[in-house]
Amino acid sequence: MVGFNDAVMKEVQGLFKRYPKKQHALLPILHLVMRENQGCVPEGWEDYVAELCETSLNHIRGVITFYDMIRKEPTGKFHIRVCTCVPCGMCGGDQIKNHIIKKLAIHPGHTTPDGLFSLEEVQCLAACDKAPLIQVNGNNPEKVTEESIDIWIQEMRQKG
Amino acid sequence: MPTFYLDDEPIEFEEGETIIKAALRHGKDVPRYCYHPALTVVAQCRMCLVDVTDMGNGRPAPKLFTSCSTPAMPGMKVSLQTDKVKEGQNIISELTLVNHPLDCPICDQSGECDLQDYAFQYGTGHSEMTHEKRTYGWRDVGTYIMLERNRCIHCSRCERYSKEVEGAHDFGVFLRSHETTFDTFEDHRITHKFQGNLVDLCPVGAITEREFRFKKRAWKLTRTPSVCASCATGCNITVDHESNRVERLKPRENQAVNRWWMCDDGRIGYRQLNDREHRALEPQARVKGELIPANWETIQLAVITRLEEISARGDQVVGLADTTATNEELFLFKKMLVDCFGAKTYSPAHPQQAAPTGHFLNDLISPDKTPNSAGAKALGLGMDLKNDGVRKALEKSPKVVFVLGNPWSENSQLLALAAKADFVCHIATFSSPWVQITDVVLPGATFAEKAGTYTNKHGRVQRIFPAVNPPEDCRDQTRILLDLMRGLGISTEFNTPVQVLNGLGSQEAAFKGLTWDTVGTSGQPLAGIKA
Ligand code: SF4
Ligand code: SF4
Ligand code: FES
Ligand code: FES
Repeated sequence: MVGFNDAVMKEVQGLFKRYPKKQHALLPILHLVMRENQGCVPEGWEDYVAELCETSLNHIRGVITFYDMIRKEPTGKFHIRVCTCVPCGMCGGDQIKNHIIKKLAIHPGHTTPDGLFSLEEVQCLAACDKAPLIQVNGNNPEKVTEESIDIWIQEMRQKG
Repeated sequence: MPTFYLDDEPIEFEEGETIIKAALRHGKDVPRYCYHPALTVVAQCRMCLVDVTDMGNGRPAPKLFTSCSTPAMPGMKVSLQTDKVKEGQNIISELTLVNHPLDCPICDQSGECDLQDYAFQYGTGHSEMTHEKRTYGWRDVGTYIMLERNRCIHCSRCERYSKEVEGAHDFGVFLRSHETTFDTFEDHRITHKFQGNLVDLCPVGAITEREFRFKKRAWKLTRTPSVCASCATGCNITVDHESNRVERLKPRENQAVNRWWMCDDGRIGYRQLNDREHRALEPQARVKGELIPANWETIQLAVITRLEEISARGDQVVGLADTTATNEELFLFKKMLVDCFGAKTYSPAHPQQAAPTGHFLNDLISPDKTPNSAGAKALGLGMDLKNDGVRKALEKSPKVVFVLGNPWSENSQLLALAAKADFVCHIATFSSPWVQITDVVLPGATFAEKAGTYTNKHGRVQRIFPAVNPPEDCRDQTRILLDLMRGLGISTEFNTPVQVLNGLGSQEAAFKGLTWDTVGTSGQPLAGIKA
């Protein structure tokens, strides 16, 4: 169903209080939408948010397409962020990315057909000391190798 | 007033004014794409760079500044000529062209394109771009416009116009960086009546007029200043024409009337100017119930003879004037009726059309679809919305009815009353129901074929000029009326609409103090009306 429940609406009202205009709360509200909808802004929610924030549909679509972190499609059960920024890149971030692409047979921005994994290429996650690293579902980033990734994917597949 | 210096030339500015605004006001040319006085400043095209060699405190600016977003400071020294600024302009021109298709030979904007002009003036003529250009197809984004995104230079004027001026925000900006596109939402099609302004605002050929696509090279068009005749607002326009055909109507800036804008209904008014099918093309006289063509000399003589035969006076003669006629024509018409017959002229009201209201643009569209009702009123022609006065005059069974233009042709009841007259003389531009009852048709000219003035709904008198020639046998209404008057034995010192207007100034109280010259390019309010 499109629309926030009462509890989330309370949060929204709190957000509105922080800004001079309702549309200024657009970004945090889009994050709420994603939190409530498996990490994406599904069909129909753009109109809802436009009305809620008293702005135009074009404004919402512009913001959503501008930011990589705002997604239109649901993420997989395990959303993998792989960092390819300079420090990670120097430690093999790109190889890690390519390895995951081969292993899962999806490109960044996509989700596996079983809905288990989705992949996203990101810039510095501010944990360069662990480079190269991935971050799963917003948990702490972890240092990885091709082997550790194979094992992890295997485990997760079995767990389903 | 504080002063800054643009390439050593002193420029006065108001406090808080940006460099570009003050410079443009002083007639300086500063290259710019995103800046437009009607829109908020976003400083995103970077074309308006200036080198500030002295910020007003004796120190130079560390880098080039965008003149559209930098406020002028007293004593500031600004240059558009230094090597530094030229290099900046070179780089910006090259970047702007990175994805551009350079299809000027088939681009409607060609010849009036800022990108073309600035690339020529400020570019280097070569590019280091070796990658493939990103491409899109044509998009059908509105009933009046088309979008070719390959040519878009991301100035965002369209988006700001749709948000800040028109208000519907139906142009948006999507994605980021080199993928950025300006477009409408998915397959949303713009239907409002102010799409043409997007074409004028777009500095390149990305937004083009559907009806003007691939029709004419812009530089071949002659632009004659005029006033839109599609409603009572009187937006200032240019009539763009070539080879005696009107190709388009474009707004002409007048801050007191239409600012930079006009509506699409006004723009498509060009169609009627080329219409020959519904036009009264030759003088005609009714012989044995049939209208047959005749030449001007014969018909004028016939009209005079017939009028002398009937020798009607006073209430036996009625003048009906359409408010698409100019002030000069209405004045002459009224004068003819008074001086020759002691008769009265009425200007029946056209039906009003519902018009949106709400913001400046909407208010441009007047419910009154004729350009000169205010002029008719100022000249004291019996204006009444319900047409009671006209009905009463016609119920007295006049013998002669003069018709100027095409007043209330929809009202068949009044038409039937007028048909009872012995003689109906019609000065017509377009064919109308009058043709069924009239005894003579004298073909006139459209507003693009004659000189004169209209008075807009706020009482502002504005000039029109002949852009194209009328069809061979059609004549300027002023001339038709003057010929009739002379034939009827009235001597008049007038020969041209310009003389008539100058005469109007001394003979009609409302027009006191107005002359062709004082009305000028941007109009002058009637006496007693504040600007
Ligand atoms: S937009 Fe301007 S530069 Fe581009 S193809 Fe058209 S005329 Fe040429
Ligand atoms: S379509 Fe025209 S007005 Fe709109 S951003 Fe592109 S160049 Fe500017
Ligand atoms: S570069 Fe990858 S976490 Fe900083
Ligand atoms: S006109 Fe100043 S940045 Fe575009």
